[in-house]
Parts: sequence; structure tokens; C-alpha cells
Amino acid sequence: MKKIINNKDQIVDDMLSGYIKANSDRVKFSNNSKRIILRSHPKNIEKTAMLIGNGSGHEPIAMGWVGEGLLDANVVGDIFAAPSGDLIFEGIQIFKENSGCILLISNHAGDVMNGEMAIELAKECEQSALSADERICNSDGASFDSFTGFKVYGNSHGQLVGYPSSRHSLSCVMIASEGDDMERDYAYTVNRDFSLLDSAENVGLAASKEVLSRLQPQTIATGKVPVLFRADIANTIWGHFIAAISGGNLYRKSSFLLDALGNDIFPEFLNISERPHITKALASSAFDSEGVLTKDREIITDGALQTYLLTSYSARKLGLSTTGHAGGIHNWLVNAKGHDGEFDAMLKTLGTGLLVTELMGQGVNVVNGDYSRGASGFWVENGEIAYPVSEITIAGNLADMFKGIVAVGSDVDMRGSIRTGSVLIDEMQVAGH
Amino acid sequence: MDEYIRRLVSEYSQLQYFIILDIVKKPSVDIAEISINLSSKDGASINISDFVSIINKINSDYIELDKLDQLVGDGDHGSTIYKGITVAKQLYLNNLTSPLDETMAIISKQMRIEMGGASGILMSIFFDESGKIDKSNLNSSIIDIFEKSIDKIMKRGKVKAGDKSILDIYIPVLNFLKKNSDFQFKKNEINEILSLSLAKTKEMEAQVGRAKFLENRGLGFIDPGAKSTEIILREYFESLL
Repeated sequence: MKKIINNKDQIVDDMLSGYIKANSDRVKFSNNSKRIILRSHPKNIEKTAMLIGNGSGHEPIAMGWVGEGLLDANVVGDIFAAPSGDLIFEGIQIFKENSGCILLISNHAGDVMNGEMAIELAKECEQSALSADERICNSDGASFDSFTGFKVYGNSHGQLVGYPSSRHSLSCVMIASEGDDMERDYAYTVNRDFSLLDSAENVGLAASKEVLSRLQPQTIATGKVPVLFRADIANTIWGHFIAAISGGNLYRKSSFLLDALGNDIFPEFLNISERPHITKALASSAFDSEGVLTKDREIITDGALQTYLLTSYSARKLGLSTTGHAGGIHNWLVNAKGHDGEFDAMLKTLGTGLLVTELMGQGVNVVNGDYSRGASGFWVENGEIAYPVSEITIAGNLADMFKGIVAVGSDVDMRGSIRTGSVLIDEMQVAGH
Repeated sequence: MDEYIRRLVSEYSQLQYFIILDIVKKPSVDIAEISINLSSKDGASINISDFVSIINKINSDYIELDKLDQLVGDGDHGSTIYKGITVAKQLYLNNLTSPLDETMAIISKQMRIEMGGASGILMSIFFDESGKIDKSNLNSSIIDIFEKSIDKIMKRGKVKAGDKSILDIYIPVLNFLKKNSDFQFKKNEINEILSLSLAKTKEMEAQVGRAKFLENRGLGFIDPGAKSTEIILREYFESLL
């Protein structure tokens, strides 16, 4: 007998996992892909990386060359077929922080085309960020993460459940300078479906745009002004709300929202729904981390609190039953019908005030609701962004801030467990110069 | 579950068609709805029975394509293109509500990843471009799709007309489209051009790819990539015109 084949479509993957298992002292899979083979002892960071992309079917070429003293990675294609340029590019990305990278290409038509494409993609990724503006002076690195796995939960009551899951993300940090000022900012894309990730080029451009807009910031005068939290940081507001209605803080009596069920916490137009079963959403799950079934819930209806967030332990402590929130929430959808609008409309509603795009420090006290955090963003005049601001502090009390929400934008950020647009609060204390 | 998936694959085998058909996309069509459309032979909303899908065709032809590839290549072209088309179909289903050009860009990228090799990177180009079809400007947008595809294939593959490649199908078709402003009424002629162009690859000596090493021993055999391209374009025009 010459060979055993389980399934024709799986032969390459099967062969690779067998090879890795048999040679685990020498090689391993990359975290990102089971088609990228790395040496198991990472190379010295000063050594220029060497990798090769090639089709399989010629084993032990080329994965046999991966190991100390020769290649650092092999990107593997199907039988006699070059891996796609996209996959080779992923391989190159692994070594981007290192001292350069040599890509070896076998001289077959497909290998040459895909190798050239990978090189173009790698150059594009760096160039799109670096060339956007001459004030962009450096990249502080980019990273790509990919995860696929199977979550299984079992307990002594005989429950044994599980589901497969995946998550991919790409991020990029850019540095810009103008005069004495140097700023840093980032952009990212995340999705459960690899094919729906934003392109490396767009992420690079977005990071550049962000960092350029921050150059030459000013501070503003101390006073009380309306504050708009941009969609990508507005989830922090809801995060504090989550902490305040979480069972752990409630039974310890350390929340400003004790005995608040049914109370009007937000304005009447505000609704928050939890939908744990949205396909491809980032916080979807069939059961929580204690195996409790998740289900659609209304958290806030017409401004009033409908439920606490309980685990079985905190529920017992409170004499209630679990709501399936062990391990966190499951996709919140924030809705402010009639009090919403795209980002530009939100700026118009803000009129003159502060747009916050970054928060620093942990000055939030869930026990009494006091809120005080370092911030940066933009000063807005008559609905138009006027100039960047930094080194300011914004303060208030969460209970007042919740009640003071004037609008929630329809510029929803889908990249997290809370799908919210930008949040406009009527008035907060700003401390500047 | 297995049976269900098998049934899905066969029921949705016409889906490749939707990619081309669905120039103006319905805002939201769910899987159940499509399944009804497909199974009803009288076709309430789309007359499916009129259309033989690319994937159906590839499905029935891929073994033949593999055999063809055994003569001049490494014998897997049919399986490779079948894998690509199957992925295209699944992605199409997953992205029904996005604009067509975005969907096709996603499909093209994933086909490239799944198929790999020279065929993945080159054949996915037409799928990407075909998402840019413009219903209000049908003729010129189709010509544009062909021109851009050919240009990109030439650059990426470093290949020209007469090299015995997929270009030897695209180029004669483009020439015909450009010469006939009323080409939408000439489906039969386009089909003839497709058959003729394919047959012509028999007389060519491959200048690119693995088949190049056969030198004149490849004479008398059609190019497998040209064959699958011929199938795809035949089905493309069948649905479009």
C-alpha cells in the first residue's frame, strides 16, 4: 500500500497536521493559519526572515527546510498549486516587526504571480500608511490576529455543549509629527468572517487620517459644555452602565443603581435590546460561561431598567434567578428612535461643544456614579469641527449623564459587543486651562 | 446535517446565476425564499428553468476538465475551479444584502484563496470585474468589464494573445462585443466565437504555465483554463442576454 487518504478535500490539511505532530520539536503552525508553518523556536529578531510559498505534493520540500539555520516559514498551497498571494502576505506579516524579510518564490507561473501579489500587498500596506501625508513619519507596527476554535462547556450536571467560533482582526498604529508635536493613533477592523475584514490599505489610511487630525492640539477653557462621545468610544458609557447593573456589584451594595428595576434611568426615547443569536456578531453565544441558555432580552425599555445582569452566584445572593450573563453581555443594540442621526447630524445637534474621541485613566466610581476621565478629541463650533483638543478632563455623575443623553447617533460601530452610535450628553464639566 | 448540506449544494447549484442575474439586488432575500424560487420550476420571480448554471455545468464538467488537464498539466484544473465556484456560491448567499460590486470583490478574493495557483489568481479577476456591471449602461459596462479583466490578466500573468491561455477566450469575445453594438441580440454568434476560440487553442503552443514545458507535444489539445473560461462565459452570456 502506498498511501491512505481520508478525504480528498482534506489531504493537505491532514498531511500538514501529521507533519507538525511528528516534528513538533522543529516546526509548528502559525497562530493565524494552518497553512503557514513556522519553526518552533522563534528566530533571533535581528535575523532577516526567510520564507517560501509553494504548493504541496513535493514533501518534504519545502516544509522540510523550515527550522533553525534555514527557513523561518513555509506558506503551503494545495497539491501542485501555489498558495494565494493573500496567504503569502499573511506569512510576511508575521515578520513585519523584524529585520526585513526575504520571500523565496519557486519558478512556476502560479508561484511567481502569487508571490508578486504578496509583495505588492505588503508594500501597499506600509505605503498606504506612510505615503498618505508627509507628516506621517512612522508606523508603530501593525498586527493581524486570527482565531478559530471550538468552545465546549461541560459540568457535573451532565451538560455538555459547544460551538465553533472564529475571530479575525487587523490593526495599525501610525505616528505623525508637525513642528514639536508628535501624535499617535490607530485604526482596526475586526470580524468573525475573514472575507469581511476591511483591507489592509483602508486600515492604514484610516489610522493615518486619525493621527493627522490630532496634530497641533490645543486645550480649552474650563466650563460646562455639551459632550459628544464618538461611536467608537461611546461603548465605554454603556460599559459603566453594565457594571452598575451587574449582580456582583449589586449584592455587594456597591452600585449607584441599587433597587433600580423599573426605574427611569435614561430618557424615554432610549431602548437597549440584547440579541445573543445574531449571526457573525462579535458577542453572540448560545449559552453563557455557566452553560445557561441565552435569550433575547430588553434591557432598557422607554428609558426604564428591565433587568439586572446576573450570574447564578450573584442571583442566589440576591434571591433572584440567573439571567445568563456569566462572562458578560451578548450583543446590545442601542436605539434612540427620533433622537438619532448620522455623525454629521450629531455634530449639528451638538452645536458648540466637545467631541471626545479618546479617554484615558480609570476615574469612574460605580458606587456613587462619579465620573472623571482624561480625554482628547475636538472642539466643535456651530456643528463643525474646529480644532483638536487634548490634556483635558471631563467630569460628571453617571446618573446625571444617563439622564442627560440628548441623542444617540445612527453611526453605529459594529466592531464590538455593544452596537451603539455616538452619544450626545447635554452638559458635562470640562477642565482645561 | 450532511444530507441537508448535500441538498443545499444541489438546490443552490443555480446560484452562480444569481450573481450575474441579480444586477439590481433585492434588499433582503433569505435562504428559505431562494430555496422556494429555485424549487418552483415555473419560477415565480426568476425563471430558473431558463438558466443552466455555471456551477451546474462546472459540476458536471469538472471531471472532464481534470482529464483535459491530465493531458497538458497536473490534472486538477476541474477540481480547482469547482472548489472556487462552490465558495463563490456560498459567499454570494452570505452577502445577499450588500451591493453587487462589494459582494463580487469578496467572492473574487476568496476564490483566489481557495483555488490558489495561477488559475485562482487569474480566473478570479473576471469575477471581481463583473460586479461592476451597470444595468442602465449595459453594453458599455460589459465591454469595460472585459477590457479591464484582460488588462489585469495580461499584467498579472505576463501573458499575451496566442500564448494558449484564458486570454485566448476573453480577447476574441471582447473584439466581437466591440464590433457589434447590438451584441445583446447575438447570443448564438457569441457562443460560436466561444467554441471557435476554444478550438483554436489546440493549434497553439503554450508559452506560459506548466504546459509550456511540453513544447509542441501540447499541440492538438485544448487549454484546460480556456475550456473552463469558455464554460463560464457561455453561462454568463446565457444569463445576461
